[in-house]
Amino acid sequence: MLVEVERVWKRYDVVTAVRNVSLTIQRGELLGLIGPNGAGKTSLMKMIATLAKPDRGRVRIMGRDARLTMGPIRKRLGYMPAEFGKMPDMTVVEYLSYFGAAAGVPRRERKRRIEAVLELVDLVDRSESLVGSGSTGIKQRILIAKTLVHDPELLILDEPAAGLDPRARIEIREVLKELNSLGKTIVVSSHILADLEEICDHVAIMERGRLVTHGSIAGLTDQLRETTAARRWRIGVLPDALEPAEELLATLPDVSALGREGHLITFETADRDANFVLRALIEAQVTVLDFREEGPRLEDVFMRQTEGAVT
Amino acid sequence: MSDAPPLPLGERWAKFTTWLENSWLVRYAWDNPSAEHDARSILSAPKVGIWLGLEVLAIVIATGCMLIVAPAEEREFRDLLEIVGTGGVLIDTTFLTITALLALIVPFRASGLLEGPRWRGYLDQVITTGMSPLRYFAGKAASSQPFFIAILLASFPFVTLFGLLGGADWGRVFFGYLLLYLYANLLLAVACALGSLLHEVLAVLLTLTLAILGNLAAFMPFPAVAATYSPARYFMLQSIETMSGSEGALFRELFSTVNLFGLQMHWLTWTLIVWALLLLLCGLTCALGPLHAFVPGLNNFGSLVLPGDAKRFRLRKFRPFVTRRTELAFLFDNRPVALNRWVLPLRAFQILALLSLLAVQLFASNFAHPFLKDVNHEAVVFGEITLLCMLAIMAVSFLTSGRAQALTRFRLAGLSIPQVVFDTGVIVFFLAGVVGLHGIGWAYAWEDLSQPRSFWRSMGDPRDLLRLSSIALSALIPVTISTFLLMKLLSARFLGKGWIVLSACVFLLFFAIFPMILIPMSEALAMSKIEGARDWARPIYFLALASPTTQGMALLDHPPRWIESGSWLFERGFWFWQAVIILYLGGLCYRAHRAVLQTATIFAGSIPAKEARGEKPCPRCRSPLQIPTPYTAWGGILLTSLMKEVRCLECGADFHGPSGKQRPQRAFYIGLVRYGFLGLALLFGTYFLVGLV
Repeated sequence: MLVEVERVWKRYDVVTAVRNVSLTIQRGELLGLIGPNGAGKTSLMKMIATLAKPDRGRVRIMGRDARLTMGPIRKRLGYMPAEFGKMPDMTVVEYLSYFGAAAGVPRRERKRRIEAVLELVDLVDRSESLVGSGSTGIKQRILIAKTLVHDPELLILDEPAAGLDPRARIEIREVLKELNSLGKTIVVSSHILADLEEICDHVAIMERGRLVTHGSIAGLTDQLRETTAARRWRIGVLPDALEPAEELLATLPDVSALGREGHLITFETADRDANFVLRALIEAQVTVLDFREEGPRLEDVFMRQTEGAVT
Repeated sequence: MSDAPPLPLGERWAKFTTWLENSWLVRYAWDNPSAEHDARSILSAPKVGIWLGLEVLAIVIATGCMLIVAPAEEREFRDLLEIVGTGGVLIDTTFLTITALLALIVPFRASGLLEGPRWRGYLDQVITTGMSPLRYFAGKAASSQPFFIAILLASFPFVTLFGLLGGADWGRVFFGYLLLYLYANLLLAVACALGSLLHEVLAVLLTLTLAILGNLAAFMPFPAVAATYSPARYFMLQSIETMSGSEGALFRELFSTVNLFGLQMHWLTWTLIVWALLLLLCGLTCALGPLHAFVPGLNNFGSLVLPGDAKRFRLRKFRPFVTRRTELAFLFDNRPVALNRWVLPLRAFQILALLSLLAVQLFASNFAHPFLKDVNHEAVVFGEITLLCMLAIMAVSFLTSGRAQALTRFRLAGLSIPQVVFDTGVIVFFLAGVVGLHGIGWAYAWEDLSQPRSFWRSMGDPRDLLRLSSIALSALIPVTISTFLLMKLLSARFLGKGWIVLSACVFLLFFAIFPMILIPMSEALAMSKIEGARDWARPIYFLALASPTTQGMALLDHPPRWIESGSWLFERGFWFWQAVIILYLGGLCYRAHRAVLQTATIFAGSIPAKEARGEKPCPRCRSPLQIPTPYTAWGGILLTSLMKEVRCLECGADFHGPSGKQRPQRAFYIGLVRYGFLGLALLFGTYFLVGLV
């Protein structure tokens, strides 16, 4: 277990940002932290990054109490904040070298590591340009490179895709996937659920400072599926068979919410595998091109678990 | 012997650089972000060239004046040039110019290390690298070395040239350079250490002021034991040694011989000891940082919220200072884990070592032979009182801090120690040291004072001197303790520095207003023709003795004529009142700090809010978080506790705990009765006490 958060509270004046949150993060896990604005994600991430001390409760990182042994913990984590101050007047290489030196990476090793991270975030061509001169996407990639330069075990990335265009978002997503494949443990927060669904194996959903749910995405969607009475299915047929197929389905018992999405027919049924629908279509000699269950997505889990409220 | 051919020069060089890069010191200090940043942004900047140019110009002007202007005006200079040699004098002038220049430049070199990343908003990034603060400062020190060397080397052509004119002692020149190099590092260390305790801008100004004062002290006829904060005196010694006559002998003794309570040593040896101690203390400060523990509300990087903050808008203006301290506390969290358990003893050592150094320097100056011989009776007592006051003020200011620190507890040897206990221990230890030094100083000076010299006989018995200065010390110690307690009490309640203003008001009241009102009142009563009024003259005077001013007047001139009593109450009433004040302030202080620590414990969740035990919430903000009110103006300690008054931790409102209501009318009547009763008790108590003796 790399990170252990035990009954943590964090309070700002009259607002309690984090309430009794307990969470564990395994080594090599890519955890997505999601929640509406003001849910307490940043506060929780700051506590894991040792930049805030819990008012109550305890955070253990790599087996050490985060209140007592700051230096050794910090050397092994990389934190990328949601907001970054004024970028210093340095080139990208100088900037990475500054933080590499701060983290204690020896000079020769640092050069090698800077080259490697620049390649990873695809910034080799911009290594001599000033850090403040690039677009938001470039700056985010520089920040990721800075977070990686000392080869940390644990990465804490607060909204890395905030303010990025779709292309840059995809690139950042790819970088995160690659980092996770290299064995890094990553905690990432984002509002873009589709991105997190694609890259994360685990998610934690927060609302009003509470941890609403936490687990693997597959487990959470399965759980939702188990608790949902009707399941949604999708059928692909040839274009000329769309209307006959729809008419046939409308006659079947236990089929509801019949609809169409382009060339696909959608419906809901309480039957577990919906074989009776497939059988009926085949018997009616309708050519079925696609037949699949449209399982619950992370969005569904999020909408089910949260009420849309903020602290 | 090995037959292997010698390595080519290039390979040897590469091997050497690899060894150097891998050495601990280079990795610690040079392979360091602050060193890299400095080297890139400052050392390569044109302003270094400007500094060097300025130095050359200053040397040319100073030596030109010495060579051309001074001999024409002063006969002594012409003699000096003849005895020491032109080269020697000019080299000393060059070194003195560099000393002044270093005092002006070096403090600025230390700035920006902490504030730069803070203002630009990436200090949190530096903190999360886990970099130790000492290493962060070491980078600055490392990158400053080439700058210092450049400053010193820029003067070398001049020194060589002057040496050719004759009179140069090259060993002394080498040592002079070494001393200047050490001095530059000392100034840097002081500026860095102050920068981690105060604001960097303030640290630069303070270092600059201290350096200027240190240099002034070196030039003025200060005893050698105290004039150790500048190398300037080393460059003046050669000239002083050439002085003849009794004046020359006195100056030689005053400038070059350190008389440390009978232990004689050369000024240079003592100076190097002092510098080493200062460097150690500054290094410790750079490693430990401001004494700060994370307490509720002050435990978040970048934003601070204190209990009840929403309502305490007036205190928000102090937040930048608290924010800075808290942010730096996150950086100083990166110090080595092994150091954490030593933080408290090291802090005590720092405070005591600095105060002791100053105390030793001041006491030894006061009792140094040449100094003592030429000052009169009162000046010795006056000198000791002044230095004691200075030390007491420093001790109190070191050991009292704001509300944030009042919340602090430290772990030491398995015990959880509140900071107030630690501070009290340190100040008591310090005061005991002052008493010890007083004894040592007088024991040392006694022989000199009791010489049958006409000078002393005409001025009085030396035993009177000792008696007077001992009384002054024994008056100052309770004043220091009560001031310490008062400031601790006020700082436990106030977040900002408002408590300093309050303390000053209390001082003004006690030192000036109290005697100004009560003594004339006592005299008027004594002169009164009203039957019975005259009996109150003495109790009122006894009340006025609570002020050190009245006691001082009584000591100098005995009690006024209208008192007509030789009782100890009128001779030493001050100590009686100080005992009462210390006991009262001690009780209040204990209550206030207990309340502060209770607040912290409730916020930390160690004990539940009182709501769970059936108490009513705050009538103003409905918060269940409350503690027993430690003290109110209307009820004092005792009545407040008996009336079950509680304080809301969210908005700070005081209200009646069981009913959950605020009752201002009840408070007013209780206050009226209490103050009336207390006033009468004080007056009649004093009256009867005076009557008894």
